[in-house]
Amino acid sequence: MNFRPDVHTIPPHVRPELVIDFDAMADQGMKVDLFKRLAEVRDGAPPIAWSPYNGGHWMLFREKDIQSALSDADHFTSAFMSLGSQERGGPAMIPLGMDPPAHTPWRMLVMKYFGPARIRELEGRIRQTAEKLIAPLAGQSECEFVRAVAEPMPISIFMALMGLPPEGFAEFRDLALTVVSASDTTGEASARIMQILGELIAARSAEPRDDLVSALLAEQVNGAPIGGAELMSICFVLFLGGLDTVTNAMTFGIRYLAMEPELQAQVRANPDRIPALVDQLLRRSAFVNVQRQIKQDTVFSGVEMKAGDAVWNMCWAGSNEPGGETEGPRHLAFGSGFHMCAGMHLARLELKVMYETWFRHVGQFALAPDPEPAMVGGQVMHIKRLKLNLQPAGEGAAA
Amino acid sequence: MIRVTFVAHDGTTREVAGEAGQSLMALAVATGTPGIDGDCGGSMACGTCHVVIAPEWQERVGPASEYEACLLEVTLDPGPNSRLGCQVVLSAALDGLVVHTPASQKV
Repeated sequence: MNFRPDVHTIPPHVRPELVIDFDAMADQGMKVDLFKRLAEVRDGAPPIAWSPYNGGHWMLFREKDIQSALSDADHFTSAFMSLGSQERGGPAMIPLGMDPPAHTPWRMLVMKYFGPARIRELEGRIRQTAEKLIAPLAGQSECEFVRAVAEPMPISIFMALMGLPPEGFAEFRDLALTVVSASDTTGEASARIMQILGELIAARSAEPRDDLVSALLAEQVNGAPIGGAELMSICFVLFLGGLDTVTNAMTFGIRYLAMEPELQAQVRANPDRIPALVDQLLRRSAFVNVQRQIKQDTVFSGVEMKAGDAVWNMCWAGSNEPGGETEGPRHLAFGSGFHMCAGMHLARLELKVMYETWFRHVGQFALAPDPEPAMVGGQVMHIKRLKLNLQPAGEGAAA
Repeated sequence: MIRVTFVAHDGTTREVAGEAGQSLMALAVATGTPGIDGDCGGSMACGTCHVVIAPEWQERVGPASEYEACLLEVTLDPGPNSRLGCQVVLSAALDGLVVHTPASQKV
């Protein structure tokens, strides 16, 4: 391999045959089609490989290895997430940047508000939001799906859930996009988000309402009320975890459907298929490469790893192994183990409602020409825009 | 071999055999038994392996732990005999166990 040693990191304990020439952040092929490129990389790589880019890190490609790593906090820690955030002036990441057992009571607190029973109460509001965004597309011949649906829908729902007033939508959307884009102004935008959340927490402390922040203020963890900094941290993690991820899941899902008229026709003929479709498309879109750090030296699946090594769990590869399952709810789109996405029930409901509403208002749809590559690799892989050609509902069958 | 009968919400029964030390969730997943998802793989993080223990087995299976009870509370239809399948570990004493699976683990 022709790596330049000044920019590429290969520590001595990494066996040379495990090193592959793949930059999981900036690979050119991923910009055109993330999933094709990931399949190609996975097929040519050892099950556990080392990428010398981005500081150097392990990549786990197999479902079994990813499941093991994400269930083993003794060797695969998440604490670096909190430390990293705090170094950048952000809050600690509760519960995302914690390891068990300290993690457990915080996780249970969050799950209390994101379990299926509580999420079901949000369905009416989610349906209203979807209807408002998608119904206007019924008469249009084209749309940019990210801007029209996939961005505004989760942001509106998150704001309502937290108790943020809807008139702040435009500012909040711009801030959210800046924070997740990791640009020069990300720090500024994070500070403003924390200011907005801080004001919300102060307002609900003074006068509780029927929203998540008010409810969390009344909770206890380890026998004590939740402090202001801790509550801010939870809210910030919910914000980071719940917005662009849903946007990505919606956009990748609609992209697959746009490329597969037969799948569209099946769903249109049988909308009862939509809950299964949600998981089928999530599996094919699994866009989060969940990161961990080795906590103590270990030999994992025959590979020597040292404390401090970075690990990327390549969840798309693990969810789409050759010869593996293609249906069913067990995939790695929400990660796995004790940090498995706490928002998965909310995400599934948002996706289900979005697809139901979409198929009610929109007929056959297909990708519109887009000369520029729109996909981006990284820890949360995403697609910047999705241009579609639309036909009115009821005319799809004739096309 | 420890025999377990899963009763689906529509009354369909399915008897499967597991090993001591295996969890009910792992047994259901390994045998392709429908009605249990077990998304998080047994870390008590997702609440998608909710089962209801048949009343005559409740005492031998025992109650949920504090954190398990938190998760059970937010499953769709929790009851007094509810447990998370990933937290019920098979042993010889549970040979013949009967558990019911809910209509859905998800919204």
